[in-house]
Amino acid sequence: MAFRFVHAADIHLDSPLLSLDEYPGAPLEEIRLATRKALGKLVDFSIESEAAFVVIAGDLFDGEWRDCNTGLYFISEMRRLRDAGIMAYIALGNHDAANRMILGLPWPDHIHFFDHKRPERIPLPGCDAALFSQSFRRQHVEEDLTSTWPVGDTGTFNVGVLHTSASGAAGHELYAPCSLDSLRSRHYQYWALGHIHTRTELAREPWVVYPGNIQGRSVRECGPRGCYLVDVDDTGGVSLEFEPLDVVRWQVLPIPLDERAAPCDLEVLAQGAIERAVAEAEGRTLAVRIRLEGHGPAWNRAAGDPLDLKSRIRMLAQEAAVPVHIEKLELVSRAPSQTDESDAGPMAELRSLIHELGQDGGLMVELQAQFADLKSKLQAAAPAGQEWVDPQDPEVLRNALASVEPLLEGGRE
Amino acid sequence: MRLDVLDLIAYGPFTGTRLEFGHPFTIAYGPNEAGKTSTLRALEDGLFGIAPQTPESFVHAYPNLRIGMTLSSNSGGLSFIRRKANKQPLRAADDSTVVDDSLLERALHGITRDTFTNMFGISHAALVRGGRALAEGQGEIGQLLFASAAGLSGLQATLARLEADAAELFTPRASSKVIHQCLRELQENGLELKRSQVAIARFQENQKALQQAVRDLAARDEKIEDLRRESERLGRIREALPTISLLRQTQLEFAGLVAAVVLPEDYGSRLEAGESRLQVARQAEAGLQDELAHIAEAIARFYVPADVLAADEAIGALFEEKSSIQKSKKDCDRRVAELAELKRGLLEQAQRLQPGMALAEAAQLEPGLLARNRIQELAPQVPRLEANLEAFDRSLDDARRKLAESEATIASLPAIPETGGLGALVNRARRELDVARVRELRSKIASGEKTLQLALRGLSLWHGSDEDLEALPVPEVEAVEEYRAALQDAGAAEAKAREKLAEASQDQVLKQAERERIVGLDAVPTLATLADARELRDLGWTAIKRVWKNAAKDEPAERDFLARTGQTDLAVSYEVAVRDADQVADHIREEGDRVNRLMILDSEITRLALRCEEAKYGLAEARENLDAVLERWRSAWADCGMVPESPSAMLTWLRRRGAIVEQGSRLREMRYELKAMDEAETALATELAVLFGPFGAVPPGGATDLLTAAEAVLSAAAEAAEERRTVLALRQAQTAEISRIETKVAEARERVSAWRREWAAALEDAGLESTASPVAAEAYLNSVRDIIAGLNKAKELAERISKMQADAETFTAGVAKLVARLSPPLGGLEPEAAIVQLHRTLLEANENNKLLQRENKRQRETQVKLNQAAQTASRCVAYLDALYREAAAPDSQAAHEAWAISTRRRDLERRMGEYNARLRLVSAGKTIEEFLAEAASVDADSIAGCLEEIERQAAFIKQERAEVETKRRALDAEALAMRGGDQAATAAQRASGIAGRLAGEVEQYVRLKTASFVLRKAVERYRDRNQGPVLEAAAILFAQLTCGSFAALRVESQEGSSRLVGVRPTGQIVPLAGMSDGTLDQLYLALRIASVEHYFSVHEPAPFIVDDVLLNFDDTRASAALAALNALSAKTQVIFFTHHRRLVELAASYTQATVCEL
Repeated sequence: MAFRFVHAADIHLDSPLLSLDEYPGAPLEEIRLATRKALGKLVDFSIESEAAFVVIAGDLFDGEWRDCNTGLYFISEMRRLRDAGIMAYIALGNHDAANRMILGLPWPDHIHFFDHKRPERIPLPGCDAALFSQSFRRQHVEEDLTSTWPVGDTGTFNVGVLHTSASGAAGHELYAPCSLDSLRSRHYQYWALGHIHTRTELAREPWVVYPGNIQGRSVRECGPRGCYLVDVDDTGGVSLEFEPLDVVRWQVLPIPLDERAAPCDLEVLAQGAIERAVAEAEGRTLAVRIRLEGHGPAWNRAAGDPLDLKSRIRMLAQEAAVPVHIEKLELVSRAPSQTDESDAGPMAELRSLIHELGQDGGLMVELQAQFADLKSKLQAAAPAGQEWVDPQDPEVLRNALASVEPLLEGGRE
Repeated sequence: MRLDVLDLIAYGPFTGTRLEFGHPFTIAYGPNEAGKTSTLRALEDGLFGIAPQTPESFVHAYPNLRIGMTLSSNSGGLSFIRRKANKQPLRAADDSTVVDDSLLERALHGITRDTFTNMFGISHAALVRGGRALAEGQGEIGQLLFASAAGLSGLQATLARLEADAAELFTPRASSKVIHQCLRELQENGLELKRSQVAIARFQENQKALQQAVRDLAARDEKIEDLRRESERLGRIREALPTISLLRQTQLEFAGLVAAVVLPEDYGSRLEAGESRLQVARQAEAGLQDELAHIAEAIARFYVPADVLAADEAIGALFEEKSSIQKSKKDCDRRVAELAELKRGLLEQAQRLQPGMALAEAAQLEPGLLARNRIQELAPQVPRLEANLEAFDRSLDDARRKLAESEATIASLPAIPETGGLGALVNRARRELDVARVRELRSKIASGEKTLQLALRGLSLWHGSDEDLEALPVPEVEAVEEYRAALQDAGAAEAKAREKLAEASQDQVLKQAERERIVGLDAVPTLATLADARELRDLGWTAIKRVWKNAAKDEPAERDFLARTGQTDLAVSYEVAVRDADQVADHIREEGDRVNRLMILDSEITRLALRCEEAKYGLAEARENLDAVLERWRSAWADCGMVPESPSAMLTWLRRRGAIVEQGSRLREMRYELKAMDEAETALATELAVLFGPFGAVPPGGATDLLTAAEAVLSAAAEAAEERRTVLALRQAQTAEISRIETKVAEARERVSAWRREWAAALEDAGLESTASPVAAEAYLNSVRDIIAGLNKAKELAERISKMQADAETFTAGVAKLVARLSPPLGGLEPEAAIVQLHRTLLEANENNKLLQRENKRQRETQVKLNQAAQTASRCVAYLDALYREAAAPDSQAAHEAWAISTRRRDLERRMGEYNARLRLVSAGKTIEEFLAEAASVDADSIAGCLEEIERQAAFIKQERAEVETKRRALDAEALAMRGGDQAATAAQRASGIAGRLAGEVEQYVRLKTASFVLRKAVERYRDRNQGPVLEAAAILFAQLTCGSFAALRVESQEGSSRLVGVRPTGQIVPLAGMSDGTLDQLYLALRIASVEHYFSVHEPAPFIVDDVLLNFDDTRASAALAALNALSAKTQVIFFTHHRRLVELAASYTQATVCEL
């Protein structure tokens, strides 16, 4: 019997969108509670597409988050699924394992959390399908548990739900690792995975799929975010359709610069890049990082007074057709190598010094010492758990070195 | 690299202008507006590309801009034309063959546009800024050298700006800086986040208590509802009793009027309206008859002439034309006089050209369009052609004189010695021998060893060598960071658990104290006390009922009851129990607030005790965790044989260890390098001594002294060769120039002859003498053109006069015809007066006609109204007759009486209906009969007592309910914060935003401080490497530029830094702050020239561009400066731009500079 279901993961409800500061004209109201709005869209989409059930492959909440209002809000949204007759099946992930809300809230009957003691098989008679899964109660799971899971039933559509770092997926904390071979050995037709925030299709025989998270939370999570609508036909054939759910879309807008770009071109280039991003955003709010890459007079102007340029671009962004938040103006230096002119003369001396500093020798230690006070202050005054930029980090200092010459431009004849 | 030719082919205001820089020192002279700025820009654009938005496209469009350049260097020459293009911008002389960009790049030797502008160029504004900056910097030597060599005129200001900008963001001791503010915001937001979070345990407690309160409320609501129903039933009956009485009376009266005629409800109003309409119709009939009589009288009074009305259009047209005819007659006389005057003037003008000529013949004087145009075209050419010829003659004389001078110079040049082998070796020695580096290495090794030993002694927990320290298996920094985080987390968790326990204990003590205070005030009865009292009362009643019904005595119930009351008589005992229960209930009602508070406190104390237990368990767990982390931390250092301090301290230890290891490694590298350099120097000294032999005695000393002597020999030979090459190139260029100018002179002469031939032919075509000058020919042509224009004007005037006379005659005839037909008596008047009279008659006739028409219309309308009024009166009479019949009445009075009886009967029916409706409202769904029966069954006098009793019971239960409700509301209020609200999520989002801003501010602070750090270090290094040679040269130049006012420059140590001062010939020291603006300008110029000279002592030469820097120099100092620039031109090309003729003259007197005019 044909049916369809929705596969989502990594909701991280109420976790903030990183580094989106308040400034005049910033679209703060659009950004506020973005993960809640995305969850609302997930519920709307499940109801509209008449899904038989919804599968969430882990990480409903952030591990350290303690406000039970988050869980209560999740329950209120799930009630809308119940009113439409849609069950929700949830496997707990590494973040959920540390969260007390899972045990302490009055979960309604139409939400099923998979057991953490042993693998569980849930038959879905109306769909002629079965779900297999196991939740995890620990924050760190280093072994592949799927080898103990039951093998899929013949003549039934078997769906495995797992929060895992499957082989080949990088960039996230290692968690319940497994290989494609071990997944295939269970003879399921669809593996609904979670944990990796980037949408990934690992295999089609059988389907092994990460839908990614439903709302990007930092500049590392750019582009569309959402869930999969999985259609299963009468013969067990599968077709997937991705549905974007994000309400705020992150984008990095690289602007290459060279000698030919004039300083006065920067605003126009930035506005052009923003307008292109807006055209692709399908009416969503944008959180944007402008990355100026290269060298030349325009790059120097940006490095000479980045705050002023950022403020101008933020004003220009207010004219865009959708709300746009300029998260950061990032400067990436790609200067051509200096030739034999740089072996004498004061500016050559300066460049040689910058080059020497970039090699992390004793001079770098001396430079780091300039920031000892600031680091102590940050260590002492930043709230526990709050991340901050280490001013003595060599990478931060190497980036700063690229701006030295432009910052001296004010003294040029 | 040297610039030989700059071709301004199409750039800025220039088209085809060529500047040739013959001598290494060139003066480019141009007065204001000559295009000096464009030329300077062309120099840069030619070498480095035309800027995308160049302002030099005001004559030539962007695609047409062209700059030609010819460069030469030791490795050969390069000629190209620069276009404005992103790809392949360089072309050969044909402007199409592509020239490879890399050829120019090689010629530039890596010089960028920035370097060229700042190091190899100086303007007047830069000189003045540089001079001021010297004074502001107070002579700190490193900054002076660095700034003057780099073209950073405001180095001191730049450093100050960087430091000030950084201090705006952060200083360790201030608290109002941007980064401090960000941190404060983060802390405040963190508190807000903590406040707005709701823990899961709190949610669960609230839900449990809330469910209990809801159950309690439902039970009390049920009881209250029962009492309310009984109270309402009795109340309804009491309310219905007066209505029941009124219903009975009305039914009685109605029975007497059952037989009366029932008329419709609107009968009375119809009767009155019919009678009123009849009266109105009759009054209207009389008024209209009077009005008709008045209208007939008015019509008889009007008279209207029909023939005048019929001629309305003709009279109106002639009346309109009258004014224009009068004006035309006056204008006609003026025009006749004007025509006569014009003809007389034309005749005079024609006879001046040909005496005796008639006016009709004058038109034949026109020479024809082609002949006229040819004369006008040729006339203005002759002055320009003659001036050109004269200019070329002058240029030719000048060029021949310069060639003769060059020939004389060549004859006087000396022979050039062969230095090829020595030169190659010196070049190699320059590359391989780095004395400064050797000195630096020795110094660094010595100081590095001391620093290393000090650092080793200062490193706690360690007493071995740096190499052993390097080999120590210490944990990675990331691991230590993890331990630090883990210890911080465990410590924070332990502190939090302790705080939670203390908080819960304190809350418990406070609540207990409050409870004791409330209880201690007075005995407060609780609901449990009330329940006990009622139970005792009910027990007594049960015992009494048994005794009463069963006549039994000494029952267990009776004994139990008496035992609990402490009485012996059952009746007395029951009485006491009833009174006690009532008293407790009364007391509870009176002390409601205290009782309620006591209940809440009991509940809270129980809850707090549970929380204390939970917190104690949490604290033990946190302590255990902290100990475990500490144990892991110590074991991580076991392999090093060390007992570690805290992770933060060990991170610092690791960083210091890393610095020591790094320092040791650098020292090793420097020692190897020094050894290799010493060996290379010895080998070079041997080779140099061999090759130096042919040029004189080998000087004593090492490789450095030998190199200096060899360089002096090479320099002298190179200068001689350069001078010969320059003069030969100049002679070749001058010969070519003479040939070019001779060709130009011949061309100019031919153009003048050709013009003269064409002019004679044109005059002949126009009928003039071939010897006439351009001025005479032009005067003749102008006179003929004026006469032809006058004849055309006279013709137009004659035609206009004839038309005006014809119009006046037509008007007079038209008026005479109308007067004869309509009013013959007006025949004697002028046509204009007669038409005015006729027009007035027409206006009166029109007015009377309009009034007559209006009265006729009114008469017709009034007659129609009179007929309508008569018909209305007839209809009213018929309508009233029908109404009388309906009431069975013979006349109006009887009809009115029948209507009164009918109205009363209807009123009684309505009242009975109302009473029934009122009773239905209170009958609670019963029929009227059932309700009347129920009311009859109740004793009206006992209703009030029953209601009072119900009210008393209800009040007591409501009091209980209010207490529960208060509790439920408090729980509800608490639950409001637990319904999925977003306060905490919003605070977390805000915290993330502030952290993002903080990161940006920290990065900006790092950028500013890094720039300041790097700049200071670069200044120090540059000073160490260049102070000696540059200052030595600058001191000589300064003495020269100040014409001996200063003898030298000296470096003095002041307050820990080295400062530059000037020295007078008398030995007097002058600090920079004590120098005049002019002297500071000269010092800055001396430093710039010395820096450039020093640079070119080891680099390929490049043009040094000087833009009018001598504006504020007097003639003596300007001459000295020009001489200094001339001397610099021995090492590199110098191009001096000026728009002051005086400076050109001075340069010609004191130097051999070439002068190019723009």
